[in-house]
Amino acid sequence: MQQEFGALRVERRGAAATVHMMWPDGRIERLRQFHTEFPIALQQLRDDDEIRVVVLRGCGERFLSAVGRERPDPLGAPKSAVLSDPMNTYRAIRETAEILDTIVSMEKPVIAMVNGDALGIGLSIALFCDLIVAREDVLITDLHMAIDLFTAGLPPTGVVPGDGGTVILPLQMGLAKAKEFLFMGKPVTAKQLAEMGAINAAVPASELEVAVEEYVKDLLERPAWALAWTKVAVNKRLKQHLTLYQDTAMAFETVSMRAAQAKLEGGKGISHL
Amino acid sequence: MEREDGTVATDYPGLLVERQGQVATVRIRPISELSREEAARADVHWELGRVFSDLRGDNSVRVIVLTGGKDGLFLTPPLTKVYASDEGRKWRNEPARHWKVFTGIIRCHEAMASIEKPIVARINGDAIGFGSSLMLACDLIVARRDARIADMHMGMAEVEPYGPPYGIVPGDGGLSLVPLYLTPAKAKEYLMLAKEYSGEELATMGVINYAVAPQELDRVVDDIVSRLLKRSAFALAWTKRVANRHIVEQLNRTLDAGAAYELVNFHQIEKMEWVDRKNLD
Repeated sequence: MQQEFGALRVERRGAAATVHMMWPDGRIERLRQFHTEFPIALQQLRDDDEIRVVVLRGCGERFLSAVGRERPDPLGAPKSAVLSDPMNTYRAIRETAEILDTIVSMEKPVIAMVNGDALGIGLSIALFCDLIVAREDVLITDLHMAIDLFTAGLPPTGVVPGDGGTVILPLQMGLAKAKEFLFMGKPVTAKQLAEMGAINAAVPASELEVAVEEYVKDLLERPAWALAWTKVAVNKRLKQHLTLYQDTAMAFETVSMRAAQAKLEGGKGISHL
Repeated sequence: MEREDGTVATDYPGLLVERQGQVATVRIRPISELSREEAARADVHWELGRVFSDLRGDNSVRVIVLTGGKDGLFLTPPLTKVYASDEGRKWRNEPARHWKVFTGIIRCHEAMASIEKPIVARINGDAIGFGSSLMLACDLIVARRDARIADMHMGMAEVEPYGPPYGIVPGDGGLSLVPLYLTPAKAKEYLMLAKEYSGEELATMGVINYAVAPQELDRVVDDIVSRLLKRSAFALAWTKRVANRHIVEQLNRTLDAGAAYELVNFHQIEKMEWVDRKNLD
């Protein structure tokens, strides 16, 4: 039973499947639909024994970003998608939990092919993958605490990084570096992350597809059940971290959005407790 | 994907899913009622994982009832004679089957622990082995007084007529959930000696919410369901979610390890030509 999706495309080639996220052009307007469709697509890939390796990639110039120059109002997303509608708060939290749980739990390696900027939820999805291969010049950054970054003239504002950054950054880079990136929303390139050992490889744009293909080919040469169970065993720590951090972060992110919104609407500042 | 008669058209041949208002009732169909074709495709572990994932994304459903499809039967394992038959032995250690069952068990437990909607167990009859694990994976549990409840993995065929004549690790969730519900000493007796309880005994011990006469089962379940539906929707969903975090963690700590050792046991017993061993060296 294969479902048709609007904001993503699943391309199957033999035992590998590639998910083109935010199909067809990566525009941010598609994020809401993508966010709803993505956990369903991931569950289907998990259920499908024909598929042994999954690749996640973006469309157009982006891997996956919740912010960008075409959306000048950085709080547009939380205001329209979450805060104004309690239904959406629930939906966004549930879908985020299911996306991360499924990437971590599915018994097949997931490769992030980071073809463009991965900001906010894009960072989380990239870093939750089992192998991460990126174009060397892209930004892979948790922007939650600096959502004004792309908007000149806006006062600094931010929300709690609730879509996975608090879980995954400390595992991929150590706590001190992770806090620096999370507290300040500090932009960091794939090249820098590769040098820190936080991702597997950062390569020139022209070499990205070949580099990912080689990982896929290499994985598919491994014995199927042994590879699947290796992933299950090695990801136990990641699952434990998800249980420990994820709901706290999601709930606080939603609460902090209210404060950030109040500030932008001219209310009491967000620089006082 | 909802059909006109209210059942949901899906690829879960071993289950019946009925919708009534905000309540979805998932019935486990008895093997004896499945067609040959359905029986070949059915795998209750996998299908339950899938159905709970599907219901998780369906905001029109707020409460789920899990029950058996036939009076007196919630879910029971294969009979001892099936384990002992040539066909049963041949099929037992098929790697593809191990894969399917292993991943299905994990998928099912993860889905039940993670879903933001309360699951009410309507234990309409015997819940043995995975049936007992499933019962404990639910949030509120109502059982028939006379339901037999046991984990037969270590039963040495004493939980008649069910289970293997040899002992295997109770890896389909019992090792993970029983220690959360029974005191440590009682939990180990339940698992190691496959001690059988009735629904009534478990209610007296405080392990399940209610044990009732068969004719009272629907009334008590319906009452719980209607009281759950009176609660504020988001508050109830997140209360379930956070209350179950320790179960998710417990599953992560123990479920794959238990399932993996159970599979190892099956390989060992095959090597020993299906005769169990009472010494370690």
